[in-house]
Amino acid sequence: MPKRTLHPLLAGGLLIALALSSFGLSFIRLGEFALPLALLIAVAKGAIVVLVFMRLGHETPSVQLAALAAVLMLLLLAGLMSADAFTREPSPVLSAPIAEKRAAMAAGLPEPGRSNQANGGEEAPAAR
Amino acid sequence: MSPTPARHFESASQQAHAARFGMWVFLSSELLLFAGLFALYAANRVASPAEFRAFIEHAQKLLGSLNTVVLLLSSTFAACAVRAFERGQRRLCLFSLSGTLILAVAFLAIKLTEYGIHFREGIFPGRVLESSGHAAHASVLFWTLYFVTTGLHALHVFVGLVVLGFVAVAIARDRLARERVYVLENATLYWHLVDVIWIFLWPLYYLA
Repeated sequence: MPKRTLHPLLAGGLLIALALSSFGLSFIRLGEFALPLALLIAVAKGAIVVLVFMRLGHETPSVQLAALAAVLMLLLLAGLMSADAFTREPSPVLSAPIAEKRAAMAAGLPEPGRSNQANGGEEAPAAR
Repeated sequence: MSPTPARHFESASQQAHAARFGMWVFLSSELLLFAGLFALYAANRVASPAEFRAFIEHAQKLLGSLNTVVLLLSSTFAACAVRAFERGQRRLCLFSLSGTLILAVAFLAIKLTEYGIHFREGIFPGRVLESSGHAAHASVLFWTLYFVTTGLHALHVFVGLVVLGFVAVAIARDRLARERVYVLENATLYWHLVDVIWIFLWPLYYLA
């Protein structure tokens, strides 16, 4: 039985309009707001596809749960990985001054917060 | 008349629901496949924001944007096909599905053109473009991620093209009963997921 939802052609028109707005905004220098804004428009487009074309709103709770779990896992994975990269000391893999870091270590300058490793990685005394 | 369900289902509607549920679980696993690549992109962009923006400036924005419009239109046609099939409008359904298939081929052709331009520029997966240390490292990461992610996506477009092609042939030969609309629905669900993934790849690799 046909399900009541927004007509696909109308949804398609909305999607093209949103895509054109993303394209237009990419020519304006928005600095650090450019990516969040582009992703916000992408979320709106994704929501139209999922709700109108894929009809997730009309599905049973079990199906909606399967879809929601995947989105949550994606956000968790991308979020935790970004948080790790954003907050850790310059990583030897991801960041630039590898040579400088090594030179500093070779010169005997201990890195802050790495006293255990500077001592040869031995276990810290558990003084309680 | 309701079609006879497979023996292990109580009713045709239960069979249809099981088919759709299975498809959504599969789509969720597909999303998790791309989740790793999205997470890698996020972590590396946080580590090298200026370099990533410079490489995005070098991406084929016009071709990537054209492909976005192509894919959005193809998804619209796919949704129209399901709507027409449910209403018993077989010819309109086939017309819409043909539109989706033609646009899918167009997407792949544009994607190959884009890759060709990059190859002629000397941009390959894993190739160092920059001379200085960090920029060189970021360059390898960005372009390798670009080729792997868009390549995996293009592979999905190809699979979707084949699956939708088989369903279109079944409908053209009148071998798909109206009650088994979930077969067409599942094929288009896969296509829409491919579209959703591209909707997020486009700003990340071409726009901002």
